Amino acid sequence: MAVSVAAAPAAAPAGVAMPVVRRRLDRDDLMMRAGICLLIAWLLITLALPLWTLLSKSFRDQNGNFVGLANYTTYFSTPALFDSVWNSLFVALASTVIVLPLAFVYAYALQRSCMRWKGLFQALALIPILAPSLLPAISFIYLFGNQGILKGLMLGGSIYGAGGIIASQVFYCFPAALMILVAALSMADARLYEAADALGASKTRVFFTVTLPGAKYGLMSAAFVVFTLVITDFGIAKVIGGKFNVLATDIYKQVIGQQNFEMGAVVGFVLLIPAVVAFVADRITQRRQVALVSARAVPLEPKRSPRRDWLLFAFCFVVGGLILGILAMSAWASFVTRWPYNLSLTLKNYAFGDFDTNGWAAYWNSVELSIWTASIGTIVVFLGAYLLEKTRGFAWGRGIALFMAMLPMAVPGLVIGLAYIFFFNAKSNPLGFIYATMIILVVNSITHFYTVSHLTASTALKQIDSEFEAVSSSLKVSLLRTMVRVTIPVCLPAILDISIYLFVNAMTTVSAVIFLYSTNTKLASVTIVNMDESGFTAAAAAMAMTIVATSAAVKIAHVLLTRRLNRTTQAWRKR
Amino acid sequence: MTDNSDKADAPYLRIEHLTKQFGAFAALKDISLEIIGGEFVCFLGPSGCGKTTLLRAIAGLDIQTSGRIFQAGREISNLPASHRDFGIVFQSYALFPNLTVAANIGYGLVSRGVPKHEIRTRVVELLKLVGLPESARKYPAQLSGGQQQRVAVARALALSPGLLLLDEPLSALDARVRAHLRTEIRRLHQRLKITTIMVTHDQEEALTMADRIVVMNQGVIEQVGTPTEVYRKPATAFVADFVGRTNFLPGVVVDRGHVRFSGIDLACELDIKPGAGHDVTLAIRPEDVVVRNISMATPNAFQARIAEIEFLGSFCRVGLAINGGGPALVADFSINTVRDLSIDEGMEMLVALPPERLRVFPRAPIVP
Repeated sequence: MAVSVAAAPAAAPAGVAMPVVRRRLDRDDLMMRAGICLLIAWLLITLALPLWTLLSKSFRDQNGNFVGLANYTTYFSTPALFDSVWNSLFVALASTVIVLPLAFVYAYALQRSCMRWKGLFQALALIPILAPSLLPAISFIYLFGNQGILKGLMLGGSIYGAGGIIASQVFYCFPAALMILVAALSMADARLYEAADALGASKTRVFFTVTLPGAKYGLMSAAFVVFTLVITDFGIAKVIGGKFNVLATDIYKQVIGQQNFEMGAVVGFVLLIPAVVAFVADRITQRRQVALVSARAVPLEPKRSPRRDWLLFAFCFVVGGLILGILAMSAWASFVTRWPYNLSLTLKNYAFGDFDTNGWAAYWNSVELSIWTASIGTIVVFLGAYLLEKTRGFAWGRGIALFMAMLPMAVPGLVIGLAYIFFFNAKSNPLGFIYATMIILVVNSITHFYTVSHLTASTALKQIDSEFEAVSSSLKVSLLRTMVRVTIPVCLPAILDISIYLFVNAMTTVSAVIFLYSTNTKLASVTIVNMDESGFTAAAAAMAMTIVATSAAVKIAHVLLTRRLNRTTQAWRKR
Repeated sequence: MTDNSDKADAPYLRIEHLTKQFGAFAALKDISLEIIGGEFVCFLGPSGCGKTTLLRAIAGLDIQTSGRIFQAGREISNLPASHRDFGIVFQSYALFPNLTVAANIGYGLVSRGVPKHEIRTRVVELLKLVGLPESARKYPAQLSGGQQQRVAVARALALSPGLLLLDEPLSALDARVRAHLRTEIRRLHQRLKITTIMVTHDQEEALTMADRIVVMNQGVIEQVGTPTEVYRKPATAFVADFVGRTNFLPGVVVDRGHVRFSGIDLACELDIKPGAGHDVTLAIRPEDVVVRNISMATPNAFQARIAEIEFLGSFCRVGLAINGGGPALVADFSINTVRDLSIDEGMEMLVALPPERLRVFPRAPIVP
């Protein structure tokens, strides 16, 4: 028989190049592409263009003339300025070196031991997230400052300076490092441990050959994150830094103190460099981490080991106790009549009007900012992530938008804030009307916290079946409808997470908004800085506690809501 | 039920010179194919052969680089999926987890503005069709894998599409359920007579379900034919190897009609070009080796030694050695045959390779 391939008769001679087929776009495609263009426009206006203005500002003198690298030359040849680079690097490295082992042991105790009270310790460790970074600094002043209750322990040394900054940063950065390490230690293949056991390896050897290598990328990632948090944080150095200058406080001094915006821009860019380096290194690390543990891994169940469990319990008890103690110090101080002379309790420190003209209005401004940031931010971020995940084709548009969505992580809040001054305060900017309003604070906060929210949203979107969109177009249903009917309900837990993240961060941030508030839109966190500057430390502590209470209330409401959501939707989530 | 036999000469789906490039990699190389209305066609091949790429091009989910596609006489080459006429079932089923079974099946109907009571009737009808009349109010997670798969089929059929696409619909299920659903889908197709394309890497699935099989490898079509044709008359060595088991024997062409293998001249139908002296590969299925009712006069009969016997339940796989060498080819003998002829290791016996069962392919390295 003939080798018969029952194919269609060749209509065109073989070997002739056929024209490339381009898919006709349907309404969904057009909508998605228009959406991506809008997202690009949003990110351009809220991020890229302001940063560009900042960059160009650093090459100009105060009259706007182009002066090349003159500002940078001045900066690097002025020891008073340049020393801050070393100071910043020093405190960032020192804090990282201290936080990592503490967080690692704590995470190890939570994930790999059978100690009791795990839930309590986990909750304790997350307290610092709810507080502005200023809070630990205030607490340390009350503990070890000039009138501190434990001043004797300092042996004549001073808490104001590098020591105070590092101590406060350790408190402030602990939860961030802990969360990464808990995640890293949660992935483990029990078979590796069984194999090591069977081969007769000692417990120490197993730890160094199995446990530690397994958490390697987590440790690296945690190190980069802590380093970035410390080097970009403004509040702690401002409150407890004393004469010890760091990059973040330098920007503030140049801009607010000396009105030297150009030099502020230079410092801003110098600060951007370590943050960007750490960010890029972190991204590379995270990419490598993928598939370290195969899908067939057997989850590790920790075995009881009384001695180890009790040692870890003691460790967590001490660390958790310290965290609680530092919070309690501020809480106590906020109720004390006149520290340290009259320790009777009072509520007068909470009468903020007596210390700052804005009084409680600043607090309500913060609440308003947080609500707007959480609601608008969640919509923008989730829609943005949806567009980036679900658009077919249009690779260059998606690439640009994705790059800009990742950028805010690497940009310190102070730098974004400064960039906003230059960009939105320019006379030629038609959007200038938002300057000194609540709108600019909301836009700024959304931008500052964009990346983490975006990553949360896109992780959730990646986890749902990628063929939903294919199915709905085969059923002639618009993507919009599928998004509303299916995608959003399925992603609801992640959406709630994003809105809480945005709310709490908008509530506690100082660095992103310190340049942008006006008399009518002054915020609680900014008031803390001002009251502390004016010597009303107790009132500052009271305001910090008010913020903690608000964040905690919202967080608890979130937990309850999520629990209820899981109950009402468990019909389709569980078997 | 429509009878498509009168339209047999006008194919329902015509694919012309389809190519798909992923960068430098050619996933589809000049694919041309015709599918008749009402046919059940399987795209069969190993992973990475381009079968899913071809299916997604037909659906408009991943458009081809060049080439044309016609469906029901209409060119659909560059249409987006939403403008084409098909229903699709994915390996993951892609059921919407937060919607009930009824809402999943009625999903496309609601958007069309079909009145509520009509949707309800249609959903009930479809659920009955796939054998799940009681499950309307359940959520997908409350169903077994096989039930979810049926819901996905019902959803794909809801808009009464002209073409049903099944992308490895059974490979996520365990063996017993798979065998059961194979018959179910086949029965459903015979009832509805909807033109169906199923992608699979499982030759058994293709052989049992398809009207015609399209065997693909490395972006090209190796053979198109009925299951019997593909199994009995594999067009290429690849098909012979991929579908079922085959002995490949090295041979040299003696003349038109004879190939020498291991010192034996075997008669066979020689339909390839190479003349005398050329290397070729002979192929014969293990079950086609004959031992009963033969004599030295039977064509292609020769003496062989039973080198090894592997017991496989309903039959035995026997390694045959020729001219004092090691096992040269494998034969499957039924348990009856083994018992009746008292076949045992080490015994010498007469075997024959029927000429009409021998296939001759150009000598090429066989990739196992």
